[in-house]
Amino acid sequence: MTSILRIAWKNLFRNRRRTLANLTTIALGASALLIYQAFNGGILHEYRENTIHGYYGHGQIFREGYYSQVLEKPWKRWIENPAEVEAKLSKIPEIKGIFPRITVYAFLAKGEKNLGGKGEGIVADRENNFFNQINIEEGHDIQNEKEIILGKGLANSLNVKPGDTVTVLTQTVHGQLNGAELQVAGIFHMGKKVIDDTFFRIPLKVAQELLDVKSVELISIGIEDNTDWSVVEKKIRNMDPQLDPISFQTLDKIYYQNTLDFLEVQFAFIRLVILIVVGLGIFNSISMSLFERAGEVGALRANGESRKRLLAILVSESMLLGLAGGILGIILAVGLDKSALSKGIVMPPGPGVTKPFLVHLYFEPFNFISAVILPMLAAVVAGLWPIQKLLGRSIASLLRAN
Amino acid sequence: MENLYKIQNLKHEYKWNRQSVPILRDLSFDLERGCFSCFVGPSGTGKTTLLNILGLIENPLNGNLIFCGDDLAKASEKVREKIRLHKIGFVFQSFYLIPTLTVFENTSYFLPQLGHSREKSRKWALDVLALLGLENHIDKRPGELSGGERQRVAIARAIAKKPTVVLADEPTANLDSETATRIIKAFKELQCAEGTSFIFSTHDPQLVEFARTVFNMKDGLIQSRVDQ
Repeated sequence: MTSILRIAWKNLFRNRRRTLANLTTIALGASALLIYQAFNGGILHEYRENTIHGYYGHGQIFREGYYSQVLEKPWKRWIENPAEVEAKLSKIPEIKGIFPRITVYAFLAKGEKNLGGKGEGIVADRENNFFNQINIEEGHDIQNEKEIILGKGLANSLNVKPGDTVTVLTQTVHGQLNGAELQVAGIFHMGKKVIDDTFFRIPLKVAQELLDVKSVELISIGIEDNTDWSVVEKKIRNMDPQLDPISFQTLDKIYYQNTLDFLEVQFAFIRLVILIVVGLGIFNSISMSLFERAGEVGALRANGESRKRLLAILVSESMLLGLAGGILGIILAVGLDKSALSKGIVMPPGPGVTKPFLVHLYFEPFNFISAVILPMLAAVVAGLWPIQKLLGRSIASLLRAN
Repeated sequence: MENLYKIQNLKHEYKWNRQSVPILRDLSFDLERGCFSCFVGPSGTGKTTLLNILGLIENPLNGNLIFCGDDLAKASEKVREKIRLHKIGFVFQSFYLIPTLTVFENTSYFLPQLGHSREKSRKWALDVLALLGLENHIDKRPGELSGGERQRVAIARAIAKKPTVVLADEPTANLDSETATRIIKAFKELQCAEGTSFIFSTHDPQLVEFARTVFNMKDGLIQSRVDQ
């Protein structure tokens, strides 16, 4: 095997100009693959960070059976002992943030204006550090128990600005009317009209008082970035089988997971196109090179060289060419990342995002492996047909060829 | 002396424009081990085809081809491949060396496949190169050598396997007369030193002069056999 690889490697230097042309084709293909994959990775990374740090956290914990059902009296299946659950969660070392929440449907009144909205009770001082992707356009996030932040459309309809007071009116879970006066701390913009027109956030304690509950609907959690969610999920389930932890990918399936799947299919198609271009680019050159070697191959076969061994040598040549091209492609892609693309690529706002964002190439180890293996496969496949054709010829015809 | 080849009623033809063109017509002859023989005759007379058949590159259409006691006329490619590797060395007019390998690497190309150890292969290859006067060129590539030196490397590659027979198709055709003489002398020395049989197809009168047996061919037939 060593001698086959050694001969194959030396054969790459037979026609240096042709090998260089092939290497350039493969390297460009490999770097295009890698950059495109890393660019997609960068977008997904940004989107993942937006999704996690914008709303969901790394996952959310519900009481068993709550998330999958629509209930007439949802508060009856909320987490009833949040302090106890929080204490247990805080013992899981991978969990770095615990954010209990409640959904509140209420009327917001300002002067004679009265609008319905969907709100969320949150522990602001905890959330403000972790959920740093909320786009506050005016004012600031909630900083005390008397404040509220509103969606831009809702604030416009109520004609309020930071510093104004609004009245939040709702029913307790027992059916009695309840209300609170809160000061507008900030106005946010989520990019979706339906959210901007109806959504507001208030302190969790205020929401619990408004609904007259001690429970929480869900607990969002933040984990260490490099931690596998499934590990945390398993620990939570083992700790309390009544809890149902769900990852942000599932919670945001419509956007995050579908975007991921969409980009994957798109990438698979572009990858195929790149590999076909690379394969066709070097096919002619490989065919030519093999054609020129017909007499040499004939002489080797006349002296007893087996077809099998020649096949191994010639396929190894394509493989080594692909390998070297792939490695050059990686160097090229990483070089571009460190130079021309080092400041990132400015992208227009994506789905669910309201401001332009900067994408940096996001390389994962698997990207490097596929940037080597795929061009190698393309080179081998491009070489297979001419190799088979050459080795299928009789020795006499090979010897007559040159 | 033991027969190297025993050829009986050997026939061969090629297809040309869907028509059969006879190239060898009913050849029968014997060649002994250790022979130094050549086939001469005008172009298109079937010399190269006969050499190909003797070298198990092509199967004859009809007849018996007995090589070292075995009838190989209908042998499978796998069997012929094995015999070619172990018992036959081929040398061609155009050398057909691997340009990216050194003289030493070209010479020892087949030795690992014969199951010899690395040290033994190395010694054999160096001995053969010394015998052919190439000991000072072992690290050179074919592109750095003259035509005569390249042909000697091709001979070294064929002979390093220690084959029973070396078949050479017009081995001196591309060489000047002085180099050709050196090559022929090298063949002769190898025949004496190793006991290897040599069979040539040639137009070269010098080579014919050195041959012990000369077969004159015309139109696919052996017109005469001269033992010198």
